[in-house]
Amino acid sequence: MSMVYDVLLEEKSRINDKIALYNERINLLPKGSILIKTIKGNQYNYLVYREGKKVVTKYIKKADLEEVRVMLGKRKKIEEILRGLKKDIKLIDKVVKER
Amino acid sequence: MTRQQRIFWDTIAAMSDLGVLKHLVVIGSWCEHVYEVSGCYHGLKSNMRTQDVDFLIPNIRCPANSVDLPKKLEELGYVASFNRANNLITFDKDGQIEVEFLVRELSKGQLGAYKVPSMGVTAQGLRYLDIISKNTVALASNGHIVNVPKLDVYILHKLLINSVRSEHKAKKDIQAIVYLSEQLENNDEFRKSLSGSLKTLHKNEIRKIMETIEKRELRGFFKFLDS
Repeated sequence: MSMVYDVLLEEKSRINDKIALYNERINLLPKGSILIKTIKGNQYNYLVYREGKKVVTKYIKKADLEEVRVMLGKRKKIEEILRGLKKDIKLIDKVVKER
Repeated sequence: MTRQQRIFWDTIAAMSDLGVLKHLVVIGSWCEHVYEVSGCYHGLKSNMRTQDVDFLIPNIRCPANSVDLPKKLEELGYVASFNRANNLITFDKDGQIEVEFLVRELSKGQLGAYKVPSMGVTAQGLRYLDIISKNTVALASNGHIVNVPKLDVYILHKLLINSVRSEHKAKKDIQAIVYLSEQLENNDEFRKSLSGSLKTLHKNEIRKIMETIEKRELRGFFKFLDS
């Protein structure tokens, strides 16, 4: 049991390091989603996200669109990994507590 | 240092004493531990390590003078287990570490394990190890010189084999790649090295790597490859 316990504690510490890094990175990435509006037959791209209760809409230049799309994808991936890591921490805490 | 890590380094020390360490390459998740301990990538932290410690044997004819590696491992407390189905011998220590040897599967390949008479062991043949075998680096870690794949090649290899891994392992590999690449986000040397290594690969290998990047939505982590 102590071997498993050691492994769990080591893993928990490693997961916490990862969570800290990802939280730091995620703050540097844009959030929200891309909204395409058609005005007078022309398409315009906007980044839409929430800031508290407010919904913020920011215009995205055509040249920046791909970059924003890629960065939103990156954020989504990191968020997905973070959710998994938080679940793992809960599981480890539960097992360690039961011991 | 955890007990598992101590066993790992004792094993490395024993292999070094026997003179075989220079003929082996630590691959798999444990090479991340070697990167971390060596400190060559400042502050790099490894992902979760498994029980399996994989050693690649780049040349099964080395060393020239045969050594009895199983005997040395048994002296360390390892228990050898023989798999009748494929003739593969693995070495287990207290359920903490399982040592396995790998070789490059070339041409048609063969059924069952490869004999490595120079070390007295058998090794499993695996595809796609060529890229690792050709791109190793010797790192000074914990008082030993340990051969590991170059970090950029380690990542490229994980991307390359992602489509042939089980879904569980493939996802785990992606998480490992993301963690390493995020830690090295501002390391220009690493980025240059990864771009350079990618260019040396066969076009089919490059295609597979790019497909994995697309499929696993990793473009944001490897944007520097576009330029």
